[in-house]
Amino acid sequence: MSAIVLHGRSIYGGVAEGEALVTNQGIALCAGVDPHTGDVTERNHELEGKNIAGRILVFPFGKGSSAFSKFAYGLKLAGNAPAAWIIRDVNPQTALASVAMKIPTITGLDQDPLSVISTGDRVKVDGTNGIVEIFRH
Amino acid sequence: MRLTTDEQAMLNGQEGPARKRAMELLVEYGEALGAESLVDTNNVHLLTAFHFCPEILLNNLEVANIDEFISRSVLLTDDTIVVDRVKAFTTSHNTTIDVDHWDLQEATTGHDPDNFRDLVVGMEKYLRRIGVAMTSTCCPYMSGNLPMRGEHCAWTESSAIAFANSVLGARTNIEGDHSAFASALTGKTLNWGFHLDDNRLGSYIVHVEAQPQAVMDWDLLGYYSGFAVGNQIPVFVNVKTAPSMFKLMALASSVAVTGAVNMFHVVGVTPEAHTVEQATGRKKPEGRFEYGPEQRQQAYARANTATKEDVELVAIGCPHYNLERLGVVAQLLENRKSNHNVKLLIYTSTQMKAVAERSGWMDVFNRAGATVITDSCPMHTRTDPSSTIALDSLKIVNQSGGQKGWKNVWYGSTEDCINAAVTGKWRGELR
Repeated sequence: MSAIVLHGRSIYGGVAEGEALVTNQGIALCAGVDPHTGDVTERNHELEGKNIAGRILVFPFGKGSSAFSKFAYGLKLAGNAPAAWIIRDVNPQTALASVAMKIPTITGLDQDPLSVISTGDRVKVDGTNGIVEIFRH
Repeated sequence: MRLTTDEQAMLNGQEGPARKRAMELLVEYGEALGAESLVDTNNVHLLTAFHFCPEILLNNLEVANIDEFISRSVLLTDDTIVVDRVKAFTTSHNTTIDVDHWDLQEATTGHDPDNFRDLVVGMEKYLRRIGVAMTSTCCPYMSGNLPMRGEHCAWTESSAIAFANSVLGARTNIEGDHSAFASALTGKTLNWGFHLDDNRLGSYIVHVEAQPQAVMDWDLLGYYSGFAVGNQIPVFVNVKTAPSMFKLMALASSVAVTGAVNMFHVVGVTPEAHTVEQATGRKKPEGRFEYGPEQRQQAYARANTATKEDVELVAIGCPHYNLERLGVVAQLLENRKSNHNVKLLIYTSTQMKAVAERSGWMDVFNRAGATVITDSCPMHTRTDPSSTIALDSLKIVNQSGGQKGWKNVWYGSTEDCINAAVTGKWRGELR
């Protein structure tokens, strides 16, 4: 097993490891993810039907309703938050949601995480030091 | 982040624990975004609504003590902080449910918990206590909070944010419950994003070939463009007829939910876009596309998921209808009655409803069997998710699919929706 290492900017500290779930499309937490289950519910989204709970979610930006951080808090409270997330372009919704969920969060990586990381990869996110390790068989 | 003396004093706790905790949140949020400083704001629009499965909150938090509830869920702290009063002028977003029409609404599909009503009522009492102006609407700009050009705001509600930035030339990022509350308490917001000139420039050209005329055309233009531009700032060029207020409200509401669009320009219409050069600052755009009849048709087709022509629910008024829209609906319903198989609900703000009452329109609505609902949103209509529903807002089409599981939706003009309510049959089409 080899590891690919990416460096970025820490948004929220802490360390988590898990299975990556990657999308090239923006994510809406309000009306896009069911906080009861962690299932992506946005119609026609490429992750529709997939579950984000406990995963390392890799996505380009947050979108949609301003209730994003409220839904983030709800996901966390219900135990369905991602274990960590990697955001290509951090924006107000995703920054605030990271603070609300208190999960390891990294942005501004030295390579595009959407092309380097694939769904199913084992990924370790060190939010404190801004380090992402990708393990592949 | 560099803090001024007064900001540092709040952070040190010299103005009490509430402003201290709020300042901590702003600093944490600002550092996450890479903001370098804060800016004064005296204009906050605050979201506190419970429009996601409220049982998650009710099952996990103590709601009987509202100060404790706010401390956990909004100030994100285990200390119980009693807030005295907001510092900035603050208006409220929807309270979630119209207490006069509780039986017609629900926050989530299925059953809201019994103590949900206590939470909604308790929250309103709390907001009054801390000095919030109870506009209870998604459209503060038509209910007494109209920000001026260049005014620094901290607003929630994606449609209002896009409207404020784009149409009014006010300045706000897309804030959430947590950051808007922190801004209300401190009178500060991040000096970042749309508060800075360079970040307001358009970055994606949308050449509008299919000229938008009706409200529905503007709604479709926004719906299509949000998906297409993602997190860019669209510049709509070649628009030949100046739109009315509600047309721009429709554009702002749909483009904001299908994309991460909190600002747009319509060249020749919006204040920071007299020309394409002004709108883009002569920077090379990230991309461009043509919006023609084919794109309009695609957007319309994507929105319509129903197959049965018998309509059971018509829920209109997103964003909250303004007076012009309420007047149109009153005219359409004059001497007509909604079909006995159809529930017809019209959503607006309490302020607009008061004018509708005085204008005689409420009598028309009552005679027609329509119910006017305030404080809430068409998406909170209580209904079986598999029922056939007619909507005139693509924001609701988009949100209800993802959040409520509404599967059989007809989308069309307000006229199509009213006709469906009267005849019980959907006859809408793209004209």
